[in-house]
Amino acid sequence: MSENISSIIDNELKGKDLDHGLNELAKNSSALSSYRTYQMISDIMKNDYYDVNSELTDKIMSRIQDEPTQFNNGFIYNNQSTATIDYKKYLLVFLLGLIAAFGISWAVNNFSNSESTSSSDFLASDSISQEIIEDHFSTTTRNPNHFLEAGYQPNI
Amino acid sequence: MHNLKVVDSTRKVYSENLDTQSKENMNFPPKNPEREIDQKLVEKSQKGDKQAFGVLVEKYHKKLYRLLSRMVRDQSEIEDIVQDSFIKAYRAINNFRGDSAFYTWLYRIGVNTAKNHLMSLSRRPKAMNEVEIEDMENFDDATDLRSYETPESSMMTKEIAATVNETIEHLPEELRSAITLREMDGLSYEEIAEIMDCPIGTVRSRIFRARESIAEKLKPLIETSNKRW
Repeated sequence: MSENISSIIDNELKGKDLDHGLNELAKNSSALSSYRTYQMISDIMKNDYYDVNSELTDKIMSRIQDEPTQFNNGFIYNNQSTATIDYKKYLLVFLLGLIAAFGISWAVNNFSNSESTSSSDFLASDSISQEIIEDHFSTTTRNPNHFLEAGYQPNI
Repeated sequence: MHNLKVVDSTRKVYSENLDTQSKENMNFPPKNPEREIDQKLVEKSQKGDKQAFGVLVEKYHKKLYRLLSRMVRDQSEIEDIVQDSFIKAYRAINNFRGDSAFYTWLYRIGVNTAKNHLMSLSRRPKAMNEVEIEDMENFDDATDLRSYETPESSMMTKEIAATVNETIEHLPEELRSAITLREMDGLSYEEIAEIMDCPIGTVRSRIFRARESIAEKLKPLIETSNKRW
């Protein structure tokens, strides 16, 4: 494997070998360590070596790990476990919403049914005289006579 | 900078050999393979592979550091700017379409981050005028940059260079030649194979073995160097 890493340093790996090598480099810390040392040797031999805090890459990668994962399809997740938590959270909210919708629907139906029933019961009730009911409607704006009785002149 | 004198004789022999050969007859790779590798790593990062982005961090953090050391003197400030630049690059990785090389894109992010940092401190880039900043934005390689090493890091660098030099000196001839032609003359494996009259696989193996030998000698020094931070 390290031979492939050596070839990656030289940009001499191609095709599937390159994919393989890059995967190894990304996943295997000892491969990355070899890459780091080979790069150092290369820089030294080219008189291009520069001593930089060896913890700098760790600091950068620690911050990258805290970043939401970027996907080129537009989705962003913090990480796999967080994504699962988010999924569960949304499922819970969805289920609660569904239960609430059923509850509201059931309540509205029952309430409107009971209201209409009680209203008709009330109107048909013998305990209230028909005279009172008629008087009530005659004084409301729904009764056209009310306007005439009140002296309202429509502007025709 | 620390020159490696030991390899000069090897280089001379093979360079003369190279001059006598017709370079036109060699099949040079049509594409820029380094850019191709970077593009693959970018594509992996765009698919959510943070470790692939880590390889890009590994590859370019020193070069970016050196570039920014031309604008900012304080080491801890440079480190912060390097970190911020990589975070910005990671956040914008989906916008990178490969129209330019990854490092050109990264360096521009780094220069802009440094400029913003200095502006926030009401400071100007040290000892640089606008023309020099423009030059730096077109910076393509870290070779000619001034370094601001501390005496301690300078000593460590000298020690590492001496170890590399000494190890190369004691390598078997075929390993020494292969790695020298690669690293100091920048020849491809194919070119080295033609010069050394051996298969490309042999060149690959020789360069790897040379690196492994040097790496083995460097191990204690690298551990010491890491402890300093």
